Amino acid sequence: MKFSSLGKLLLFVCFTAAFCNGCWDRKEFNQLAIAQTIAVDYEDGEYQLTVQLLMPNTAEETISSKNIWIIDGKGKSVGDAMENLALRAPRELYLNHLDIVLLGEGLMKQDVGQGIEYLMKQHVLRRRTSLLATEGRAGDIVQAQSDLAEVDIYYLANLIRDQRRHVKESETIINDYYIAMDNHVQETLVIPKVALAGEKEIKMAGAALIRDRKLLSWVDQEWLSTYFWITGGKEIVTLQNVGAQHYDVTLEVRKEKYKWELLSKEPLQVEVTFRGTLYMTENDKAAEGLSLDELEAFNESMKKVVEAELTSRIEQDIAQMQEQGADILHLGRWLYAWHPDLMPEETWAEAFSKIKIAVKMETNLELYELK
Amino acid sequence: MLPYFLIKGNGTAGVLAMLPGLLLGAIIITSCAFWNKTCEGYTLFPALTEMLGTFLGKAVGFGFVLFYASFAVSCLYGFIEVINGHLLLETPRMVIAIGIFLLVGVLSWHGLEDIARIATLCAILVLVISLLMLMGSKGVFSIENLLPIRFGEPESLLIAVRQSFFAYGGLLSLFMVYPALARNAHVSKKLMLAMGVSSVAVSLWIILALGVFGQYSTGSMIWLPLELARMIQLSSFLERTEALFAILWMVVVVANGGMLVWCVTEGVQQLFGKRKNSWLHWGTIALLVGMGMQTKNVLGLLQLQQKLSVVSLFWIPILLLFVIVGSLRYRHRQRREEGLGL
Repeated sequence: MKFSSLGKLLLFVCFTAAFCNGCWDRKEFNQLAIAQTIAVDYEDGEYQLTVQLLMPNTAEETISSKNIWIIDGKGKSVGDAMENLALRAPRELYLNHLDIVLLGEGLMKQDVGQGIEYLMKQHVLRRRTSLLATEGRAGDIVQAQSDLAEVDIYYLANLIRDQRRHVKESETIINDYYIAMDNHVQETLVIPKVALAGEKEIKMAGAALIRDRKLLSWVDQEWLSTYFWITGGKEIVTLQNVGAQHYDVTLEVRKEKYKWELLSKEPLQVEVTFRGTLYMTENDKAAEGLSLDELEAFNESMKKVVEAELTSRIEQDIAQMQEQGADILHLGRWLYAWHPDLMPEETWAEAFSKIKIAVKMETNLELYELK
Repeated sequence: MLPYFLIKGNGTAGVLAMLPGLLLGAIIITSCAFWNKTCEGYTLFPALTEMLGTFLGKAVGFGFVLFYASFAVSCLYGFIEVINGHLLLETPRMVIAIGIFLLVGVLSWHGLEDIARIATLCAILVLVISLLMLMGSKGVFSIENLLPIRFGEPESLLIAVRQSFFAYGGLLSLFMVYPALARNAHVSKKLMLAMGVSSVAVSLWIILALGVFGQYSTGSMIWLPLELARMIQLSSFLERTEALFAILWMVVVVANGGMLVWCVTEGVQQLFGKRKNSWLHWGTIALLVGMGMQTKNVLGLLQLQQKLSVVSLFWIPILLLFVIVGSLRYRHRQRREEGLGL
C-alpha cells in the first residue's frame, strides 16, 4: 500500500512530536517541593543549607501554611549539603523558583563566594536572585518563616518588594555581588539585613558590608540613608524651627541619580552631586499668610536649610565610609571607568580613605500648595 | 559561542575583534559576486570542475562540503547543548539532536525558498523578542561596566580574531546559495547590508550583556545571551524570559542550520552528480548527527570550535584562492575562445 503525501506528513508530524514537545522534562505540580528561600550557613567547618519548601496539593485551590515544610542539609561542601538536602526532601526538589538567598554571619565571615558558587554553577540560582544577610544563623530566619506563613506565606519576598517600592533598586542581587567582587576595584557591597522582631515579625534592619567576599561590618538602618541616595527612593525629613514662626516642617525627599565629577587630579579630589525633589507633607502652616514674594523667599530659604542638613548628614556618613575603607558609592568603579590613569597603585580601600570628596546637593521644591 | 570567545580576556574591546571577520565577510561576498558573474549559469561544483579540472575541482568541492558540515555541526550542536544543559535537562542529548536534525532535514529537503520564507516569517518574532530583551535590561545596565576599553593578552586577542574569522567564514555558503538567487545586480550590496546589520545586532547583544554583567565576570559565561535572558525581568508577570530567548535562538538556528545543512546535502549530491536523492540527503544528515555526537558535552564543543577556528585560518583562504584563481583562468579562457571565434 502506498502512503499518500498527507499520510506521510501526518506520520512525520506524529514522529517529530515525540521528540520536540519537551514531555521528557515534564514536572508534575503535585510531585514537586518548590523552594522559595534558601539559607546558607557555615559553622564548625560545615556548610548548612536550610530550605523552605512549598508542597502544593492538586486537591486544594490555594497554598496555605499547611503546605510548608522546612528541611536542612549539612556537608563539608555546599555540594554535599545539597545532596544531603535532596535525600531528605519528601518530594522532588524544585529549585528553579528560588527568589531569595539568606547568608548567615558565619558564611559571610568565611567566604560568601564559596557559599553561592556551587549553586550558581548548578543553575539553581540566577543572577537576579536577591541576597539578604542575617546576624547569627540564616537558618533561624527560614525556620521562623514557617510560623509567619500564617501571616503571609511569602513574608520575606513581600518584605523586599515593599522596600523596593519605597527605595528603588534597594535590593542586592547576585549580579551586584559578582560585579563588585570581580572588578579591579575593591568595592564594598551592601547586603540588606533581616532580623527577627518578636514572634510574628521579620524586619529589614540595616545591612552587612561585604568586601573581598567577606563581612566587613554591620551598619544600622539610619546609616543606609546615604546609601539610598545611590539607589534612589524616598526619605522623610523633619526640620525644626523653620521660618519666622519657628515651625517644624516635614518633607518627603525623593532622591534621584547621583553624579561624580573630577575636581583635581593632584591631589585627587572629586565632587559628588546628589539630586532630589522635596515635597512638603506636614506642618505647612509655616508659610501661612505669606505673600507670593515672601513665599518665594521662604521656599528658597527652606531649600537651603534642607540642603545644608542633608549635606551635613551625608558628609558624616562618607567620612565613616572612608574610615572603614568601604566604597559603597562606587567611586572606584566610576574612576576606573572614566579616569583609569588616575587609579592609585595602592589598594583601593586604602586610597579611598585619602581622597577628598566634596558633597553638593541640588534640590527642587515641588507641590507647595497655597491656601 | 562567538560572544564568549570575543569577550574572554578582552572585555568590551573584544567587540572590535569582529572587524577582521567583517573584512573576511566582505571579501567572500565580493569573490562570490565575481565568481557568479564569471560562471553564470553554473552551480558551484560543476563550475569548480570546469575551472580546475575534474580531480582538483572535486577535491576543492569536497573541501567546501567539509567546511559546511563542520560549521553546521558547530552551529546546531551549540543550540542542542543550550537546550540540554539549561532547559530540557532530563531529555537525552541524542533525542534533542534527532529532533533538531529531523526538523532541519525536512526544511533543507524542501529547498532554499522554504528556508527563506520561514526566515522572513520569523524575522518579526526575532525583532520583537530582541526589543523586549532590550527593554528588560534597562534597570540593570550600566555604562560604567563597559569601561575602560582595553585589549587583554595577545593570546586572548588572537583567539577572538580566529573565532571571528570562523564565524564569518560561514558566508562561504553563499557560493552554494548564489546561483539560486535572482539575477539582480544589487544582490551583493544587499548581502553586504545584511552582514552589516547582523554584525551590529551581535555587537549590541554583547555590549548589552557586558553592561549588565561587567567585563570581568563574563569570562566564565559560555552562553552570554542566555545568561542575559535569565537576568532580565519584564515586569512582575513575565519571569522566565529565557523561554522567550530559547524561541528566538531556535528560530535563528533552524533558519541558519537549515541553510547550512542544505549546503552540505546539496554539495554531496552535486559531488556525486545526483539531483534530489533522498538516500544521500538523509544519509548525510545521519552522518552530521554522528559527527556532532562525538562532542560529549559543552567542553568538547568548545574544543572542537577552537580547533576549527585554527584550521579555518588556512582552510578559508585556500578555498577562496582556488575559486578566484579558477574564475580568472576560466574568464581568460572564455575570452580567448571568443577571440578565436570558437
